[in-house]
Amino acid sequence: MPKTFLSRLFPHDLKLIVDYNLNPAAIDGLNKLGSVKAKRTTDYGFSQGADDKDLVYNKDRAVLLTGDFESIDEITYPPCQHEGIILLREKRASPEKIVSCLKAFCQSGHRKKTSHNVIHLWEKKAIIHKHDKEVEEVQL
Amino acid sequence: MSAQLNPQRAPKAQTSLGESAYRWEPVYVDPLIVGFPAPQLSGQGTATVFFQGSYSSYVRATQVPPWLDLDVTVALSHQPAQIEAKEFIRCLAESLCLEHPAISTYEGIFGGAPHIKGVRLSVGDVLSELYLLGSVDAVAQTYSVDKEQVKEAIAYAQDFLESAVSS
Repeated sequence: MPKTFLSRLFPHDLKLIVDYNLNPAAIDGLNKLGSVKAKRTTDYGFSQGADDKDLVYNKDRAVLLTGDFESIDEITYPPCQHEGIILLREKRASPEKIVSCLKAFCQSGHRKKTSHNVIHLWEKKAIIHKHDKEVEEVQL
Repeated sequence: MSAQLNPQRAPKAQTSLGESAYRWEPVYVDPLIVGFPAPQLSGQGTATVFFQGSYSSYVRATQVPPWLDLDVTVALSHQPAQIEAKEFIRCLAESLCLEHPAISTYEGIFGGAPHIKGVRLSVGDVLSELYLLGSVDAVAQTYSVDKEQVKEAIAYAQDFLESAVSS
């Protein structure tokens, strides 16, 4: 979609598809951030046991937020072939921690980099894998 | 079960490292590693056979006759220790699913990591949520699964840990 003056002035919400294994209590917190529209996989019509690739290549053009960084990564799903992936790297993340990680990332000014990229997200930093194997590390 | 492979009667081998790397030492087959019960060790099948004493090398039998002390066609390969360790863990994870039918290693979900069958909730996630929420009931309620499935995941984790440590 081409960028217009209005779209630059009022950027689109970050549309997230939250993996089933993340605590659903985090979704309410994410939606309260204002610039994020988060729904669980089942709310997008996927089954409880949807395949990884179905979620990554979802037709709703939503960015996948998942805690499964062992099987979903920039090697298996290279940047630019999907809408975007955010890999939550914090272990045993409570709903509050999930929200705080996303909040920190969105407020850091790098939110638009979620598009088509693979992002490893911690509470204090993010590593963004972009097209052509370019990697950017940002402090949050 | 422990099966000895007869070195004189196992001549057919393909090895990526040439015949010099072809060494027949006593090997054993762990039924847990093999992944299916011993009586079915016949006809076509896949089994992972480990050299006795260490997991530094292994052979993967592609045709398993009724008894492993008979001729067996194997593909012998030497791989980096890390890959072998991963393979061992994968085999162990798969074999334990026989004892815990509520757990699956279907590759479409989490790349084959053990998870509750038909649900995107790995065994690790169950333990993580148990740590955070504090009870089986809370985990079951949060993720809309049965309590028995959650308990099965915990039992699987225990068996996996014990098997991995004792191997």
